[in-house]
Amino acid sequence: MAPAGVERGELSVDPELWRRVEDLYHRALELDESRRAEFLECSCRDDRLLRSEVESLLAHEKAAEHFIESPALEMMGRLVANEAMIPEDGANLIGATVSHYRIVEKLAGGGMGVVYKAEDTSLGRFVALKFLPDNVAQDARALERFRREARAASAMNHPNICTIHEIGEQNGKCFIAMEFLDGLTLKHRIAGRPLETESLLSLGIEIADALDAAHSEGIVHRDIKPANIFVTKRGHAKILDFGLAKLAPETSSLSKIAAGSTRRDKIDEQHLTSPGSVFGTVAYMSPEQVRANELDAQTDLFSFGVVLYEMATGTLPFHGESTGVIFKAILDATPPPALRLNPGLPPKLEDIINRALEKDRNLRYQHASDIRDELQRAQRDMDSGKAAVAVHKGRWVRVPKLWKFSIPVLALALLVAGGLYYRSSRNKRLTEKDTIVLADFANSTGDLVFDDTLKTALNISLRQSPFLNVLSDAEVARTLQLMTRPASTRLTPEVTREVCQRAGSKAYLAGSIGSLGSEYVLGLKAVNCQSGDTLAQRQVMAESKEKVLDALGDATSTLRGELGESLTTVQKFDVPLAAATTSSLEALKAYSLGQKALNEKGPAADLTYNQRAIDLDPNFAMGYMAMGLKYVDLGQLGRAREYITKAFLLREHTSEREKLAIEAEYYGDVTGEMDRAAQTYQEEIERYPRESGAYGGLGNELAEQGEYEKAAEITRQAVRLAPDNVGWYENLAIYNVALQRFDEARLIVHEAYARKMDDSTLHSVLYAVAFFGADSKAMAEQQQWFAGKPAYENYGLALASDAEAYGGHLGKARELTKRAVDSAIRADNHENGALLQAIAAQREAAYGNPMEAQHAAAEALKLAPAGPGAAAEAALAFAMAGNTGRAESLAQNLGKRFSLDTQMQSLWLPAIAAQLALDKKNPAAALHALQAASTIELGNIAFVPNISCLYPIYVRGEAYLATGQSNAAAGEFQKILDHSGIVWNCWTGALAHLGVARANALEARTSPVAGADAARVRALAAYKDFLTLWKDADPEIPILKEAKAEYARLR
Amino acid sequence: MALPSTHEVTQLLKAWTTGDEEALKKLTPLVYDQLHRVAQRCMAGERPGHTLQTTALVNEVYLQLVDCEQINWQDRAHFFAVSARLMRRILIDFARSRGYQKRGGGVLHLSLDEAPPVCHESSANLVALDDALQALAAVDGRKSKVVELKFFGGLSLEETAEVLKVSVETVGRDWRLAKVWLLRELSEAN
Repeated sequence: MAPAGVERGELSVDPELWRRVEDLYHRALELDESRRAEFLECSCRDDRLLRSEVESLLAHEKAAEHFIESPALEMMGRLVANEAMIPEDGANLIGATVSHYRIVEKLAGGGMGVVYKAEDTSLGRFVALKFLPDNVAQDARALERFRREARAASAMNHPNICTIHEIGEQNGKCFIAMEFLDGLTLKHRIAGRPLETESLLSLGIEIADALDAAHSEGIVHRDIKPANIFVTKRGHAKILDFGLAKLAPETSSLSKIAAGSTRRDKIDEQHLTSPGSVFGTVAYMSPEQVRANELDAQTDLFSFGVVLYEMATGTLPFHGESTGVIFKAILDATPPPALRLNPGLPPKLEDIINRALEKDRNLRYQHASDIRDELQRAQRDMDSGKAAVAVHKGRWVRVPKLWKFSIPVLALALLVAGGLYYRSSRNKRLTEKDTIVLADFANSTGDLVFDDTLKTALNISLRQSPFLNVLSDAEVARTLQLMTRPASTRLTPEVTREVCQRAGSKAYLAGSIGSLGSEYVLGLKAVNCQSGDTLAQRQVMAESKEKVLDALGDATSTLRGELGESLTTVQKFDVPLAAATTSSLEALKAYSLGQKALNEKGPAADLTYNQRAIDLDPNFAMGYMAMGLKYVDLGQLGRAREYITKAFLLREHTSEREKLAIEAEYYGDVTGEMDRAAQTYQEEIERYPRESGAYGGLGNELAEQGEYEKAAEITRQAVRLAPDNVGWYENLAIYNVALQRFDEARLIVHEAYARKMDDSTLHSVLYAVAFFGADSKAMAEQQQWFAGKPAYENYGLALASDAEAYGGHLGKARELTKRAVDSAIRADNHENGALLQAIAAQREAAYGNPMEAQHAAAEALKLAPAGPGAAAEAALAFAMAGNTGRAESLAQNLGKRFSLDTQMQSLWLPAIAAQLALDKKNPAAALHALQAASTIELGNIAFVPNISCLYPIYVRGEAYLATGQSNAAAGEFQKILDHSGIVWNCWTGALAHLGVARANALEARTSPVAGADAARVRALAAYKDFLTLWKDADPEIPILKEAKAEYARLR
Repeated sequence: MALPSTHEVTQLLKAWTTGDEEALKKLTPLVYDQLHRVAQRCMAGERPGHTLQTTALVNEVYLQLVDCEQINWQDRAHFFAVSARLMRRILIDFARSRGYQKRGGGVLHLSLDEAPPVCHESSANLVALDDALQALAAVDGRKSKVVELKFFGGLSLEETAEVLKVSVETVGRDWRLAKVWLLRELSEAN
């Protein structure tokens, strides 16, 4: 039973209630709509269940008007019809009986249209059953002519002509029952690769002989092509569909279509019912066929020449992207010499092909028997050559095999022997400014693995293009919201068109996949969403499930060109899909579901899917990258590094675009090479100027160097390009806080809110802004947000702890740090727990509690020995607490492990070294060590709750105090106070006041009298600032006691 | 295998009502044949509704095979009921075999707006509908029968009334409420 039925279980057991529902419902219906509410109010009184039942039923009254009014059979019939119109001509006939044929299974006929294997119940043999298009079946005269010719061809009983048993009709559907053959079509046999010369010759001779026999009976085939030639398991050729071509009106109308006639719709229909057949035909047409002249047997000989050429080289002699181009080539172009494409070919064969392909029919072979004879001679020559080979150690035999390995097995031709597309007109193409929207794939295969997966694949494939811009998932979700639809709404072509229109995009791309026997038919269609015109359309076949991604990638490449991208970039950025993603459809599906979960459910929802994706394919670079980025978001940089490194090592298995992104992330987050990361982002911007991530990434690198102004500027670009990526708003707001533009920062946060986005950093920013405004109420409000959110709670508690310590409430700060650490551990974020512990350790050291400091630092290292942030902070804490041994060994280790990391080498290690030098009473060495930090010391530190505590500056201030350079010392501490937007509530911000006081007190002691007085006044003021700040501080803090004593002395 | 003859159909239907699944197999091609005819007309651009709605489907499928004169009124009602049930069973099996099932939490997946607009009309998923109809049977058996007869059996209101031995007006009211109930069920499942 349906779950909904269970929910209303009370109804099924309460007939009385149901009776009343029914009664009220019908009575309400008789009333005018406006009076129903009142009526129900009176009738139901307090029975709310009754009332809501009736109301919810009434709510569906209008929609139910046409619901199931057509009988089920009719509805289902329409469904079947519709399905038959999407690429598969596949009313499911399996098991059905047509005339005296019982249909057994669908055959993978390739270009043959849909062919069924059927059992002839009267004769007990298998036959192949093929249905003719309706338009043919309705034309009685054409049908009669076809019957006559097919019968005549059959009557010859030629071993290389497929025998037709019967042409019948049932229920207005015309069918052909023919000899059941086991094997595959020549089209599949060629599959983009040349045939071995021996097979080529023996098949060629048989085909020529069959043509000769037919022609001598006056029967012309008119549609000779590999799809119409069958190769049996024993290697014999059988020509199919004699007489059929003449039936089809398209043969003569094609030239009109190419010339721009209006019969496009017609052709579409034919394509849909018989994929590839028409397009396939075009390439094999003779010049006289193209000109729509009268045809005779000569036309078959030219087409046969094309087939021979394809058998010899694996490619078509005349190809092009449109019917018109192909026609022009057939009429004018000389194909590339077959021998050049396949050097193993006997030269004699090339002569035969060239003569068969003569434009002037008088220069061509006059009879099929002529070609047959020539081919036989070539075969004889080859046999004698082979005899010679025995002597010459296989020189001949080996040569033709060479190509077999020199042409990639993934040859796309295999998948796309016949493709369909047309272009309405050139001026409808897209420009670089246009965006496109992707619809969900219509998957009629019944195989769930294709759901979502193909759309992701298409997206990745399109993203390679610097030209096309796909509307981001976030934008799509936002537009859906405007349409009052949930983000999970299925993007049918209709919905997508509306999204496209509303989002101001130019076109949408709809894809479909259907099965055709064991093969798959993929369709792609780009539609202008304003006019509804089709801009480009492509249909390809994939031989098997494993080939679907390749087929899709190929179709996409072609479509890119059709949509206006230059051939140069299409070719340059065209990594085959399976290579760019994963060859495992299952893994790609897991990845797609992850992306979907991320879009619909928000951060962290994709983690398990991505994990599954890389479990399924351990070489799936993008899967690792997604995991890595997720951990970056969660602030677990240690884990993030592992995954990003893995992605980096596998980066050759991605498209150019993803590769650049992975490299930049790797340099930025793993090795920490800021210049290299910035350079890679710059490169990405040049190549993909619409890639928001590149701007955001570059902004991040600039901020880490302390270039907040530039960082904000470039991050604005990221926001502009991806207005629905909350991360860019967060970064932008942070940079504005660093620049002390608090109002601007607040506005940016509200910009993000306006777009219904939310994330932890937005709240950190608002907390900081409230802190600067000393607005404790607003600070508490922001704390509320963090409270109870397992992944983020530790950030909120860390900020609160810092704020308490900033005010000298060390006891409260310790308590909050403990809660923060516990919370981080509960959230499986040991790394952050360790970091917060290490920061607290430093604070203890700075406040004059070296034992507590060492204890906390040691605890931090126990929690997460691998995290660079915690280790660096702990090393500094040990150094400040005087445990030089521990600090030195940690620093050494960090120096080795992060040898390329810019911040580690130029910021952390100098600060630690300087502190160690101070411990050893060598302030000059400390100042020397800190020179390295001067360029990036204001930079954003990725892992701390604030932006940076500016340790190098603080330590430098201390060093100047130690050398007696009071002015320089005051300058350093003042720098910290001037950059409060960076420091926030870090303890350095509080102690910088004391530093300024001490520097001025030193100045007062050491300067001449006049200056000394002024310095003393400044010192007193600064001490007062500090003591005011710490007015209700815990009285036992050693540094507070020192400050008070110093202040008293100075007074 | 040829389609069953008039006499055979009657026999097969009887056999099926007594639980003979083999009989169902033999009857299936009959419905399929009809289904493909509908599809055929649809593909030819003809709206099948005109013919099929005015002539009850049961008539079209069976009455031309069964000699109406030969069966009495009682049998005729029974015949209608059995035919409708048969139709439901075969069509639902067909829908399931074609993958038109609901996926992921009862979402109606195959809606016709994904297909080229050949016979454009949105269509509910029969499999989901069948489930909802079972739920309805638990609430109100007669209404579910009305839907089975009218929608799956293709009977008119009058014929449905005849089978259920109630007034046409009652059938009309049942039909109206059943549709609304089912639609609500489906949209909630969605």
